[in-house]
Amino acid sequence: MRPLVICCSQRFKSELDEFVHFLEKRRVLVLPPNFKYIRRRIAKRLPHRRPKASGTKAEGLVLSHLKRIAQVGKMGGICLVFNPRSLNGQRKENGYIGKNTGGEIFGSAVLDVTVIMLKPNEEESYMALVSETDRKRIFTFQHPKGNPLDFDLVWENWLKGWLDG
Amino acid sequence: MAKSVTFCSSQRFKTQLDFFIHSIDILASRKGFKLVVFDPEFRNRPDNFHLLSEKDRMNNEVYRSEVAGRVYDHLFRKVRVTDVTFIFNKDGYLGANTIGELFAAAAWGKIIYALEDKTLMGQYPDGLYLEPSARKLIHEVVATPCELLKRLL
Repeated sequence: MRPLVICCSQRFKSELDEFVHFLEKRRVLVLPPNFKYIRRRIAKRLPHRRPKASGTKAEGLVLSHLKRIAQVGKMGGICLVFNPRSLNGQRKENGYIGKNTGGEIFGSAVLDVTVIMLKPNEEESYMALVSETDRKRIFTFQHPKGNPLDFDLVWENWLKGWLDG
Repeated sequence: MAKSVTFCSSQRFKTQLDFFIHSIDILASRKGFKLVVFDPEFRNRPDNFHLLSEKDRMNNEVYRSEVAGRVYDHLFRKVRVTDVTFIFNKDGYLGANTIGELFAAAAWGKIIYALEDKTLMGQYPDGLYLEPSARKLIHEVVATPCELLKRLL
């Protein structure tokens, strides 16, 4: 089975923790972003409403996560953008991608790491890099009525195929 | 041997970026050097189009259809092949594509310079917030064409 690196906004920290636990129980080698030192209450705020100290903590996280992406790429793995929900002001069918996560999509693409996503996003450049034409790379394109937080469905009907393939 | 450089910038700074590149070209030619400079090619667009927000630009069908090609062109035909990436973050501002290009340059292990020390994201100019993690990817702040030229020669 191929290893998996996850790129994700810290806003989804709670959901991500559950998802990583779910994958580890299925013996997936998964490398999530390190949100260990970020408090859930702070993580849920919009970036401009977070205290400055939380940004300072995050400084090195971006670099270390780029390293993880490169590592997983060398192992033949793939990158999952975990964006299960939209935010206020976003169209419901889209999933939120923060600016750093967007940067990580660029990083993955230039390192030749295949990027897949739970939901599409309105940012054209992200979609261009994930591939606008290859619809199977986006979970909700494959399963329009599927809930990206239904981990069993995501795993059995979509993600497992990518990791076994 | 002179190094090559790719500029990355939000297109709202088209005028200032053109001036910066023109200045470094003049300085280099005075010293007898020909620099290899790639820019994001913001030409051939309607007047003041570059001042719109990306959301508004996306209402232009032609622009929308060209975005994917431009992203690939800038990343793989420019950033990848040059020695240095220069992030033209005037007022500290980084748009979504510029952030992506910054991350791509970092992933490729490029030397990255930036115009300003601050790395601000969000809605330009009033809804900006500090994002220090992007700053970590920048090696040095180089504020003038003259200082950049010293590093390229």
